[in-house]
Amino acid sequence: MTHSCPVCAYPKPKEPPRSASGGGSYEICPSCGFQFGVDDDDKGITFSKWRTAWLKRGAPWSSLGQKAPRDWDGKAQAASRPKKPAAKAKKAN
Amino acid sequence: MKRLPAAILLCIFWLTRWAMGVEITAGPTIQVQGTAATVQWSTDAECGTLFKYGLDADHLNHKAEGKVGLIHTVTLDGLLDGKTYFFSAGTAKKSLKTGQFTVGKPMPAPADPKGTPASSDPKPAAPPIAPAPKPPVPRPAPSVKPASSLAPPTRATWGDPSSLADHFARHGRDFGATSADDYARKAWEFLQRAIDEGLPAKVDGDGVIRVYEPRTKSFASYNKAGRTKTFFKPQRPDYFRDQPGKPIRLNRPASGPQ
Repeated sequence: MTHSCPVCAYPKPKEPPRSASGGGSYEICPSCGFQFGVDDDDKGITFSKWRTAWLKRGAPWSSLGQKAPRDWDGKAQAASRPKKPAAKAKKAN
Repeated sequence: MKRLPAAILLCIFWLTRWAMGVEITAGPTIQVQGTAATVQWSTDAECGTLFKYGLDADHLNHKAEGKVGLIHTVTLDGLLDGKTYFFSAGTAKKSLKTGQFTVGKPMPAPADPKGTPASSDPKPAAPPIAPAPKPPVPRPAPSVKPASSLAPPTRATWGDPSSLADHFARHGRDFGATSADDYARKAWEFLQRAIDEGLPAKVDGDGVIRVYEPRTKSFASYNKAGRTKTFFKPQRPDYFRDQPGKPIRLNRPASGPQ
């Protein structure tokens, strides 16, 4: 099963952001810099909030230890994130 | 097909690596404060740290040197406000990137990480939502058994080598770590202390170990092979309590500390 970063859609995190046990992977996404199990569980930052701030800064590659892929475009990558279907409006009785 | 001896394979690997040369993977980022500046960059292989700079691109008559490693940090002093400095970042043997920066002038937008040797930007080390980076505060080393001489090399203690630089950049300051290797060593020593002192620990269904030391508010997670996944100081007092896993008493494996 493939998984991608739920913040920026980076397609190659080493592990699923959250394991079957429910814990964060502690991986720092090399693309957007979000650390699963820390930025969410400890700092209470949502994926959406982090994504917004990251895009506002120009969606830069975050990792110091890993190179960005050739021709990498953070904004285009984030735009490829699967969108959740809009919640259906409740029918009024 | 006959197997090549391991030694020959290793020689081929290192010769190839040497031929490809070291490359900068990020930075240099230059954070100017008054008449001083902190410069940082990372490389894809361990190498020396030499930053040459000056007011004339053809005469970089100042230099700042640092340690051998993957993350390179130097401090510049005595900069002149309003002046443009030219620089070369690399090792004593090779310049890896050149550029310029102006003291007191707002930096341009972040450059392409693939790196034109353009003027560098003060890329903040902190995550985008966190407050401004804390100034480095020297912390006393925790009182641990002098295990540093016994610590295995980083490649044996850190789970994902490609991630170490990022974890060090985010959390190394919490422990007074002076380098990525020092940070990895401290994480390993924390596990040894957890074993020796019976620190609170959990293991989850995936074999991931989580350890917390209430006295120092330090938290670490290790994979089922005992290699570090992360090491940091959570802000929330209930952070460890809320992490998954069953309480366990850690024991040292028969083969010795990992």
